[in-house]
Amino acid sequence: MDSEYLFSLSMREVFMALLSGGSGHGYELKQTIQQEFGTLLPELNSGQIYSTLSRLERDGLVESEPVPDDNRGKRVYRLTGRGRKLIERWVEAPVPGARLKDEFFVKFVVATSVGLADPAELIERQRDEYLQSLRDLDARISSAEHGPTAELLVEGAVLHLKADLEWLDLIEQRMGRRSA
Amino acid sequence: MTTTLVRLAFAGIRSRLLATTLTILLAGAAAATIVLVLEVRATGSDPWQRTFDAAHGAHVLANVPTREAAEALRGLDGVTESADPVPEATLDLRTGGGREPLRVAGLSGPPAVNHPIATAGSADPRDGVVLERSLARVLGLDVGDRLVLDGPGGRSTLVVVGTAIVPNQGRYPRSNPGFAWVGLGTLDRLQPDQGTWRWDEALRVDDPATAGAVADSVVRGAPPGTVSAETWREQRDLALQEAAPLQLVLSMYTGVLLVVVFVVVGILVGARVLEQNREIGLLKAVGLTPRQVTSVFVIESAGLGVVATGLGYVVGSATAPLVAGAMAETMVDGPVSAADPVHLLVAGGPVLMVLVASTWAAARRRTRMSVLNALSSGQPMPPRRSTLVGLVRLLPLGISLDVGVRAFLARRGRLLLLTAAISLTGAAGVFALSMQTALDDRPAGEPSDVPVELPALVYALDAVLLLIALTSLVAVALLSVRERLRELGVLKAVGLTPRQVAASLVSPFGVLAGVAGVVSVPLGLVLYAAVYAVSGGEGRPAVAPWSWLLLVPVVTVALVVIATSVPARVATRSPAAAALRME
Amino acid sequence: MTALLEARGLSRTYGEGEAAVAALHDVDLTIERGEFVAVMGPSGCGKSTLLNLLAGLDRPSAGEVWLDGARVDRLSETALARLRRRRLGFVFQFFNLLPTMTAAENVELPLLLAGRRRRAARRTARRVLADLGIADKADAAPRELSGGQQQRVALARALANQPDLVLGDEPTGSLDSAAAGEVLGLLRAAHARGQTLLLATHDARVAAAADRVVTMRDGEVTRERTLAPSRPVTLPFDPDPA
Repeated sequence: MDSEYLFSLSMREVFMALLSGGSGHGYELKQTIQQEFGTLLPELNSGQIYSTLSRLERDGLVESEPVPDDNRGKRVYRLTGRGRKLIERWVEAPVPGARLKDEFFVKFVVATSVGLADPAELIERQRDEYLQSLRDLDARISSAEHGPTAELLVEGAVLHLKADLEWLDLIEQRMGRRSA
Repeated sequence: MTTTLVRLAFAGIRSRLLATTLTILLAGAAAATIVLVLEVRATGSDPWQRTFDAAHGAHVLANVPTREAAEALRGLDGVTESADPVPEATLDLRTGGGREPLRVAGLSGPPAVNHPIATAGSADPRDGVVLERSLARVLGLDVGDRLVLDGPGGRSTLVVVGTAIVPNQGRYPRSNPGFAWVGLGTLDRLQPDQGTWRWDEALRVDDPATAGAVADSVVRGAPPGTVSAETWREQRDLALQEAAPLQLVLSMYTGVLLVVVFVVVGILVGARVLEQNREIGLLKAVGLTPRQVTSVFVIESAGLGVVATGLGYVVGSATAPLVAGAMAETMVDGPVSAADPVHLLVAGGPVLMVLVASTWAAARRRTRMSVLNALSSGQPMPPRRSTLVGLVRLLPLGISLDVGVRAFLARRGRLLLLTAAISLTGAAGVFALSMQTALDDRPAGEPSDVPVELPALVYALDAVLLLIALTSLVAVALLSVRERLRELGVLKAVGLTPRQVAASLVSPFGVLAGVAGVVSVPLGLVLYAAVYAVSGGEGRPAVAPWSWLLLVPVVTVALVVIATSVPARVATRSPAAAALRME
Repeated sequence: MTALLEARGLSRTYGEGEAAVAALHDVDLTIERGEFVAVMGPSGCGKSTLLNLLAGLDRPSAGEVWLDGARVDRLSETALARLRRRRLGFVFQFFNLLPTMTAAENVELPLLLAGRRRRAARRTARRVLADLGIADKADAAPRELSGGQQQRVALARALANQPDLVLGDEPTGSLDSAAAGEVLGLLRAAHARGQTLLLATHDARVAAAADRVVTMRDGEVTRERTLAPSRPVTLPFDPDPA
């Protein structure tokens, strides 16, 4: 269960990390997230936020108490000791570097080995997709409706895509050599 | 290690054939000129020796007041042979404008020693007169013409029966009064008072080295001021004085030529080292010390210098007799080549020094930079705000000229050197024009201070200088084309037409030539005045008319434009696409 | 309406006989007014050759080049030069600014060539430099500028005359990614203002900014793809894991 928490990126970790600085209510969390990621993140509705927080409370990672003198039932949340330990481990653990799982590659190997598709055509179509994605991301950067955090994230994605494109070149080169 | 350095050096020579050839040619021209000067000096003395032998010349030539005194000298110690005393008197020669004093010897037959050698007609005057050759030339008299001599005894109209030379008579008008031979009877008739006669006694001694001592004893045995004696050495020095203006001009031209060559070689070597920035960086990166890198370049240019000196020596000693022949008027036959191997060393010295020094200086500057600096130093900068640049910006220059002048100003050192080279060449032209004017201005019959052969020599040297200057210009133009290949590609891409690109290359040279041409006029006049003064000319020298002098800058610009348009055309043909991708 | 630029069966062979190398073989390409086209491919694929032929900097061995309905591959060098100065702008990998001129003077050059008065040219140059965000470097020498700044000046020079077409040969090829991003942004902005662009590049990011990407290999066009308008991007957060 711990590893699941550690390696899957979800809003749970984001909420817990934001709460590690002290206590806060749901509305504050929503505002901070939107400030950082802007329109890159789909609009969060209050229902989603509160159901995530109550699930964290159910798992004993977060505790809450009602805000005094508030008749709308607003609650203030803070991390439990277990929650703090978990989020500290999450922060310390580096994200794994090598991505040896690649959906395209698996598809490429399987499809070409059984003759389901022309490898060159497969590569070209994938290149179309990568170039289009690159275009989408770059349009995002130049559209100016984003904060510095989101820009960094998109720049990272751009670099990954460029690497993917280079990798396609490499695959094409090796395949071509093998078939020749 | 040394072998490696030498191998690197020779690889450099092979890879830059054009620059190498030019450097050899230019340095060779310098060496040839030096050899020429030395050889002319050496060959000049040779025909005098032959004249002396042919005339059976006098080791000591005494001039005494009486026949008896002359006879007495024939018994002096060491004298092996002597002629009968020859009497002489000074008479007046009637010329178109008045009278000229003339030394006239009375011959009763050819003297046994120091007899005149006929160059035209007969050397025996009989009833006529034999004129010393240079005098006859200046007077414009030929065999068969008549002249009038006045003396205390009357007047005589004599027929010129011949012209002749003797080893002891210098060239008229430098040696003044002139000299002539008549029959003894004619002398006696024109100057009957034999007490005023002087007597020439020609002596030969057993050992020519003792001539000085014999001459001393001739003078010592007589009352002071009455007797003079000339040794063969003094005769030779007198004869060689004729070569002095020629030697002076030759030396001046050697100087000019050496400066021009130095300048051009400096440009070529500097550019070459500049071009090698990358190679220098590479050699240093491989681990050669700056000193070793410098020595690669120095070995390279020293090799070129040795070849150039050899070439120059061959050319110089082959042409020397042609030049020296001009100064042999008072001597027999033409001179032959001296081809003294010492001259090879003397010429090689400065040439090698110039080459090695300029290479060393250029290479040292480069090798001392850090590798990083060396890489960026090749990049020219936009000219900074100087008056010159202000002018360029103000003037409504065409784009081509603007671009070209900027590229030029980016290499100011080279600009200066090139201006110096062209100015000096132009100055040599002004010198030649002034000299020609001096010759032309002389009233008919008036002797000139400028020896007649000088113009031929000066024009020949001017031609050599011009050739060198133009060759260098082509070389420098090619060089700037090569350095600016990429820039020219950009200009083409931006939309300069081939004509504009060519103009951007040629026009700055034209401007430079204009400036240099204007500078060359005063420079040439100063040179001329200096040579005139040193060679003993009096008063203000005649100067070329202003219309001629104005032509100098015009012709300079025209020649420079023609010379540089060849490389410019090459540049417009080179593909822009390739140039633009260079890094 | 006729295409702005059209290449028909364009070929370029270097050398002769046995040693002949075909740098470009039978390439057809059409560029419409206002288009942004990128040519991609590994080095040596012929993309620079193609650009040089289209710009009249080199002559095709076979084929035709048409600019705005007029054939240009047979024009004299002089006529080509006149054509370039008004209708084409260039950006190169190594910037190729004239080292003896300041940034502003480099930008003025095509304006003067097109016949503008000196003062007017100066004003326009300053304005274009300001548009590209380097007004403060107008009087700097090229070698005093960073690579990105030099490429901005080069871009200003290319755009100064509002040419029909701007050609770029690896315009971001010698820049770091930050400078490359800035130059790409400026190119994209020029395109947004209606400037037709043809860029040879192996920078996928530059290619992705184009409307159309032409891929070349061994002197031939192997694929032409038209990119769709950009799609919205969202971050892959799971807002509510089970």
